[in-house]
This record gives sequence, structure tokens and C-alpha cells, in this order.
Amino acid sequence: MSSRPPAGAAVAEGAAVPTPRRKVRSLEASNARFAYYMLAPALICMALVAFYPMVNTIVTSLTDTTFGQNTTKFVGLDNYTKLVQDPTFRTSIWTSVRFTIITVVFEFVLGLIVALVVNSSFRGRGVVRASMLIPWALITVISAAMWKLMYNQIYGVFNDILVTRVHVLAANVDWLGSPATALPAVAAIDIWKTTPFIALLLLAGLQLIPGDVYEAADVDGAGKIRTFFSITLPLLMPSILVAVIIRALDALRVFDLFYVLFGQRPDTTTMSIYVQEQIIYFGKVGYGSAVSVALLFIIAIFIAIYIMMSRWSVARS
Amino acid sequence: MERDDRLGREMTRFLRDWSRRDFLRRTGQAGALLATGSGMAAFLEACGNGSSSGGSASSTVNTSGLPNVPTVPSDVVTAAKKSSGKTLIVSQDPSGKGGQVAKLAAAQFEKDTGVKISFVVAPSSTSDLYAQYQRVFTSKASTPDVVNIDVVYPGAFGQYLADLKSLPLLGDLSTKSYPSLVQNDTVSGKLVGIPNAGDFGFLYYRKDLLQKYGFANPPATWQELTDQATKIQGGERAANPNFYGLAFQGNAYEGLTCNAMEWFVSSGGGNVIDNGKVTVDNKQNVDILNLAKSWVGKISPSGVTAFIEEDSRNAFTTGAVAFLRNWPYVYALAADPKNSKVVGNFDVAPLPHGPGGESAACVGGWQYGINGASALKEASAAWIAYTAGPDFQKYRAINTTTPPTMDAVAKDADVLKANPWLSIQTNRVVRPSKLGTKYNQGSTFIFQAVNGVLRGGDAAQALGQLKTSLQSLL
Amino acid sequence: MSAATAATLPQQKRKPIKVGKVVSRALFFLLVGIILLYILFPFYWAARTSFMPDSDIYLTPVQYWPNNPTFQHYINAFSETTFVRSIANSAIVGISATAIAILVGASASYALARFNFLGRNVALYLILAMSMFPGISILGSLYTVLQRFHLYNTLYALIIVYLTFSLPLMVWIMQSFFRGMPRDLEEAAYVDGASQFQTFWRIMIPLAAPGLATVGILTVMGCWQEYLFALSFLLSSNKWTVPLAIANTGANQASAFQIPWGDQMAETLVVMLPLIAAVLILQRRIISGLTAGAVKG
Repeated sequence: MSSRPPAGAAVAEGAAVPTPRRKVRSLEASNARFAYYMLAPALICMALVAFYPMVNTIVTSLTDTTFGQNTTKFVGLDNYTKLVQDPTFRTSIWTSVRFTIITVVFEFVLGLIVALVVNSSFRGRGVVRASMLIPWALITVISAAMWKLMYNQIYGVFNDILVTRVHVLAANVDWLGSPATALPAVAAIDIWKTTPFIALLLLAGLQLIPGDVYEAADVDGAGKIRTFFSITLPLLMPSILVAVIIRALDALRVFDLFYVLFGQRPDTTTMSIYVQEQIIYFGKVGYGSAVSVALLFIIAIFIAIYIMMSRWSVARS
Repeated sequence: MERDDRLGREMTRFLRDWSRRDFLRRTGQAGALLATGSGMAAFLEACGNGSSSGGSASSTVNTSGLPNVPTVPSDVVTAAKKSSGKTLIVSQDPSGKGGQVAKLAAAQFEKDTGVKISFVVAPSSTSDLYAQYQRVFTSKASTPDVVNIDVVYPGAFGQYLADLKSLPLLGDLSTKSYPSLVQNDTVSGKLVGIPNAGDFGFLYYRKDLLQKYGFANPPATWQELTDQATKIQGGERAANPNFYGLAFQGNAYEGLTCNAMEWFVSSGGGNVIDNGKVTVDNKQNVDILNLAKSWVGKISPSGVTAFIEEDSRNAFTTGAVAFLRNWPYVYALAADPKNSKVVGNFDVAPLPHGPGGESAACVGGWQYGINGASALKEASAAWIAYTAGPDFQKYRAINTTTPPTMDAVAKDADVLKANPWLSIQTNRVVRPSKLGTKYNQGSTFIFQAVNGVLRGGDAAQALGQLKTSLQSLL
Repeated sequence: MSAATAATLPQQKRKPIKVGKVVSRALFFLLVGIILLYILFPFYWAARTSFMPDSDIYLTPVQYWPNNPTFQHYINAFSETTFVRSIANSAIVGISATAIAILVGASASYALARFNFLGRNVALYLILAMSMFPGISILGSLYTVLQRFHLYNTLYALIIVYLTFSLPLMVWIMQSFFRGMPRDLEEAAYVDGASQFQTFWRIMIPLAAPGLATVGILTVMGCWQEYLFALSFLLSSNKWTVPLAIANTGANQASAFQIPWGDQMAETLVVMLPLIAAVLILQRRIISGLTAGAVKG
């Protein structure tokens, strides 16, 4: 996964030998046809499963559709005006963003360490490689419920260790219940679950870096740390960027984890939970659809930031 | 670029190692796998559609360990025989003893009337079930024919359900049920549900601890409860530093609305919405909420603001708490040595009340309804008349401790022996289900407001805001 | 990060202070140890919970090793037909969705990476845009679409949905993978007279195999765990996938409020172990494929 010029640049096909204009054009046409055929299955699936529903959601956001109400009417941007003034929505954005930042940073750091360990000739690396997939193979909704047991204030194992055995804390903490520790506690679960995913992506990227590069660095006398920062990291940058943006998008849209652990609790309502609350729980389909579109918009902002950052990093290298 | 060249060389070497023949074999394998996968999917689909989905009754041999279910009454048989041979789709939670009883009932019903019963799964979480029914009704699906609705949802689904009074047997059956439940199930003059399970909340207490600390009777008022709990906790802390006086459900969820309604009504603060007006903002409610706030962290663990039913039940059955407010299901668990450390040391009583109020119990439970688009309404009515009828309610009450919804059954000697808590006399309170499709919103306003107070918020302010929010719904 | 090169270093490079090296190695071991603990402890806890009676879970003091170990939960797990059947359902859905997604995704990525055609950028951005859609937002509309095609309550619905939503990840990774490959091979193939499709099928796919395997693993894992769509689109319990079956386990508890922790943990572990074994085998294939070159392993 080398870093190439960003999307948009393409090279004309088969131009090694000069060919007559007509032949070049028909070659280009045949290439374009081939590309369309190759692209078609993906586009059809997407149109049906993703784009039609999304467009439907956008259209619904302009109406007052409500569960139980048999007539719907077009209300224009009413829902959006209400949304802008909605304090719960603003809080939910902030909760989602905080969750995203905490999880992506830690997942990246831990994932990188795990990938480096597995990629090296470190002695324990077999163990790390085997165990790295375990959190991810344990089904999310069940392991979330189990973490809830572990976090329990009275019989949870974390309190038992920290308070009763090691005496680091004075009294049992209600990890999930108290607002101050709820988000970090949930983030710890997500980090535990998703670090393997990041590690796998970064590992694939690490293994694409040819060994000669390291040999050259050693011959030049670079220490381990310097090798890491000036050689490994830049070469790994494309994989890092892919992993980070994918995780960030997933974290912004997180639903299962919060639904299982918190339900409709106001201080842990993320954007997706708010959407579920409005569309399904309250039956306010029109308004909830507007919230969905707003969620999409916020995610688009994050992607814009990412594109700017990736262009900047490519320009630097 | 040099790097590309090196990469290219590596790739070419790799490609040579993994030869073309090898690759074709692999593609063949992958293709075969894909074909097998789709083939299996198709096969399983066919299998699934051939037999009925889920747990349909194919044998009449009772291997469940439960006694045989009652036979179908003759008037029900007559009504059902017209639809003999047809299959009725019933929404049912398959878990636990309730699911096993349902299967036995289906086998018996098919044997006596010839109508086959096929179950589709109702998810055990109420909000998931609400979502499922939303989908069923908005897509105007004709199945499931029989649905099982939580006590707070007749208003939300009323317009999609059939009028049961117009169907044979059910109008008569409804006169036998508790009037408050029947009224709850009547939407715009239409009877949309027949009650089949009627939970209500009450107080569990440790009679050995009350005796030890010199209390002759369980507390009658909330203040007495606070005092008794404080004294018992103080004494028991020496032996168990995690002992608390009181556990209840304080999480920001539907269960807290139940607890809160009990507090409000028993303190004389009204039913939140009385006669179409929001009355929740009054001094009695402020007082009881302040009292409840004072419990958190003192006689209740600070984590009680995240407790749901099982958390509070565990606290009681592991002996970590002196008083518990919960539903009837705890009784059987607390009396079972496998699940409880307090066997023989607990008893039940009506919930305390405030000054100038009476004990109140919030009603939970389920009602059977018929899908308005169903093609088998009369057969559905027969099934409901069977499984919600007095004989079957008695069977369920004795064997699965499901609270009956008929006075006659609740006063039956055998039923009382199996469920001593049925003798508790208390005023039953229904949540504001008349909010209809807006019920979830209203309940969310209530439980979020109360949860905020329990976590330290100002009661008067919270109730004032609650009043404004609820008024916007009316 | 490779100690193998140390052996080839000239003598004068080996001058670091012994103490510093020992300390840094020790710290490194400690760090790895802590990370391993973080990763494995919940797994141990799940295993412990699966071997003890449910009522013991809530007791204090906490039992790190079960006082009354029991196999009952595993017996329950295997005798619950819904669960056993759900493993088959999940396997079918996961494998089919991943296999089709790999084909569809690799084709689309190749087209986007190597060819310039009208609408190329639009198509690329559309595919990537799909990764922005929150599942919960399109649930209702998607349900309507599936209903219209009579796919509600079928495994096909899940296969189509999962494969579509794994396309963004697939395309993200594969198209940069394809772009990073030198064109010499393709040009050689064209000169030899291969068609575009033959080039793709016989040269590019094998070259991309490590990347495809990685994305394949990620997709299978994702399909295995997905809960929201499965819950919304499957009605009959004999079509349930594993997360639904486990979450709704409950033949054995008395009331609807109780959660059968032991049974759920036993089922989760039963499902997890073959999954990890399968992935480990595939993972070795990735690493062995890449070490055919000179990359250190």
C-alpha cells in the first residue's frame, strides 16, 4: 500500500508504443466499458441497499411522518430548524466526538504496538498473534454485557481487585453508573474489542515494507527509535490513515455498545442512540430522519478533515 | 520509482511461487465454496418454509417436566372448529417456563380443535418488541395473528388492533378481568387487549433482620422505611461493609417510571396526568423525590441510579440488602436455595405510603391482542380465550408464578398457596398509557427527570420542567 | 525492529550500555505483558463464568476460580437447537457475504484503480460515502426495500446487506493496493494477448491475495457479530444468526427478567474458538505469501 498521488490522477492505458489515434480511442472505449462492467455489481448492490434507503431517509426528513399517524405532509426544513435548537442533539454530538477521540487515539497506539510486536522477532510474538484476535471474536453484544458485570459496583471484579485486593482505590466505584467514569469505561470496552482490527490492518501495512529498507538503515547507523520514526512510520502512513479514518467513522456511528449498556440514559446518548430514540422509540420518523441526515453531515465534516490531513501528509513525504 | 521496482520484483517472485495451476485450483475451491454456501442457504430456506418457523407443536407427548395443561373448554372448541386445519401465527417469547408452557398449550389446542399454532419469536427486550410490532403494523402485515402487548402499549398500537368485543367469547372474558386493566386496554371505545399477566410492585423485606433490630412490623410509611433501613444498615455494616438498607430500580429506563409512579401516588401526589391535565408538579411529589434522593449513597448504594430489576434482585437474594422493591418474579427466586441466601428469612408487604396517601403498586404485565389485518380473527379469539381463560391462568399461576389478571383466580386457594404474595392488598396504579404513541416519549421525560433528581438534581426544578415537557405532548 | 540484522552488524555497532538495554527490554516486556492482560482477562472471565452456576456470579467475595465448577452450561448450549442451528446460519451468511463481497469489491477496486472513465471519481466517492451511513438511519427504509423483494425473514437479506456494507472497507483497501502495484505485469500480459478480464482474474487477483485475505477476515468477523440488522430482518428463530440466538438464550431460566449468563458465555466461547482457529490458519497464509519476498517475518 504505497502512497501514490491522491485520487483523481490516472494514467492512460497501454501508451508505451505510439498508436494511431483511432486505435487509442477504441482502446480507451473498450477499457471504459470493461471498467463499467466491473463496477456494475457493486453499484447495483449499493443503489438498492444503501442509496435508495438513504435518499428515502432524506426525503422523509422533510416530512412530519410519525408512527401511528396515517397522514404525512411535507414540512420543508421545519425538522432541521427544530434540530438546531435541540440541546439533547448537541450533547449527543459532543458525547460521540469525545468517544471517537478517546477510542481512536488509544486503539491506534495499542494497535501499532501489537502490530510492531507481531511483525518483529520478539520472543513472545506468537502468543500475542494468537491472542490478538480473541476480543474481536467474542460477540459484541454478549461481551458488552459481560463487561457490565465486571464493572458492577457490588460484585464486579474490577472493584474487587482495585479496592479489596490491591487497595488502590478507597471505595467501590460505580464505573458505568457515574457520569464521570461512564464514557472512559465504555471506551475501554471498545478499545479492547477493536485494537485487533487496527493491529491487523497495520500489520498488513508493516509487512509490505521490504526488509532491505531496514537493512539500509542499520548499515547507515540509525538506532531503533530513529528507524521507527523516520522510516517505518512514514512508510506505514497510508495504512495508518486508512485504519484511523475507518475507526473514526465507526466510532462516530457506534450503536450496539451503548444500546446494550445504557439504553436511553441522557448523559451517554450518542448520535446513533438519539436517532434510534427518535425514529423507533418515540416514533417521530420525520424528525429522526433529520437527525440522521445531520449525523451524516457531521461525519462528512470529519472526512473532509481527513482528506485535508492526508493530502498534507502526502505532500510532506 | 525504486521502491515500486523492488515491490514488483517481490510480487513477481510471489506469483511464481503460487503458480497459475495452483490459483485455478483455489478459484475452483472458492467457487465451490460459494456455490455450496448459496446452495445451503437455499436449502435451509426451503427447510424453514416447509416446517413451521420456530417451535410449532408436532408432538403431544409432554416431556417438559411441567404438569399437563388444561384441556380446551367446550365453548372455545366450538368457536375454533370452524378454522380447523388452518395455522395461526402467534407472537411468543420462547424463553423460560413461559415458552415451554406455550408449546404445551399449542399441542393441546391443536389436539382439541384442529387449529395449528405456529410461534414467531418475540424478543425478550420490551423496546425490541415495540420496534418489531411497529414494523409489523406499519407494513400492514397480516401475521402474526395474535400479538402480546405490554401493559403500556395498547394506546400506541390501538388503531392497528382488532376490536375484541365484537369477537365471540372475548367480551365475556374481559368482564372477568380486573377493571383497571380492561380500562387500560380500551382505546377510543375499542377493546384491544385481553390481560393475561398482571405484575404489580411490592416490598420484600428481611424478617429476620427486622426481628433482630426490634421492629415488629414492616414499615407503613416511606419515612419509617428510611428509619428502619438506616438502623439495620448501621448494625449490619460491621459484618458486611457492602450491606445496604434498600434496593430499587433507579436506572434511567421504564422501570424507574414504575417506581416513581408508586412514590407519587402513595404520597398523594396524583397520577402524573389526571383527567387530561399534567399534575406532576406539586409539593407532595417534591417531598417524596427529595426523600428518595436522600437514600442514594446512604441507605442505597450510589449505583442504584443504574439498577434494573436483576441488579436489585441480586442485592436482595445474596443477602446484601434489607428491603427491596420489585415485581412478583423475585419471590420464587428468593425461596429457591439454588438462587438465594435468604431462604426462609424474607417476607412481603405492600409498599409504604406517604403522609396522607395510601400504598400503591404500579401495574406491569401483558395483554393479548389480535392483528387488525389478520385473516383468522375468530381462531385467534379462540386461542386467546383458551390461554387467557380462568383455567389456564390458574395453571400458569401455579406452575410458572405468572400473576393472574382475574380476581377469581387470584383468590383461589391453590393459587394462593403457590403465590403467597397475591394476598397483598394494595391500590393498583397504571402508567399514563393513554398517551398512546407518545407514551415512550412521556415515560422518557419522567424517568430522565427522576433519574436526574436521584443523581443529585433539584426536585422542584426537575418536576417543573417535567410538567412543561409533558404538556407539550398533550 | 528486527534482531536478525544485529547479527550482520559490524562489531563496532555493538556498544550500547548493558544496563540501559536490559532496562528497556524489561520495560518492553512489561508493556507487552500489560497489553496481553488487557486483551485476555475478559476472555478468562467469560470462561470462568461459563463454568460456574449463575447464582454464584453475584456473590462477594468474587470467585476468581469457580468454587462449584459445572459443565451444565455447555450441555445446555449444545442441547439448544436454536443455538446450534444459528451457527450454521451465521456460517452461511458470513462465508457467502464475504466471498461475494471479495469478488464484487475486487472487481470494483480494480476498475477504479486502473482505469480512467467517465464518472470514475463519482463512483469512488459514492462507495466511500456509504461508510458514512449509520445503520440505524436506514433501518426503516431498508426494511421496506427487503419487504418489497420478499426478502424479509430470509438469510438472503442479510447476505445482501452485509456484502454491501463491507464494500467500502474492501474498496478503500483494495484500490490503494492495486494502485501501488507496478504496471509491468499487466503490460506484459496485454502484450501476450490477454484480455482485460483475463489479466484481472489470473494476474491481479493472485497478486492481491494477501490484501483480499486480510479484508476477508475482517468482513467475516464483522458478519459474525452483527446484531442490529439481524434483529430487524429475521423473525423466525430457525433463521437466527449467532448473536441473536445467544442474546435470546433462555430455555432454562424461570422469568423474563433473568439473564442466563453461564449459558450465554458458554455459547459465546463455543462459537469463538473455531472462528479464531480458522482465522489463524488464514493469517499464516498471508504472512507466508508475503515472506516469499525478502520481508522479515
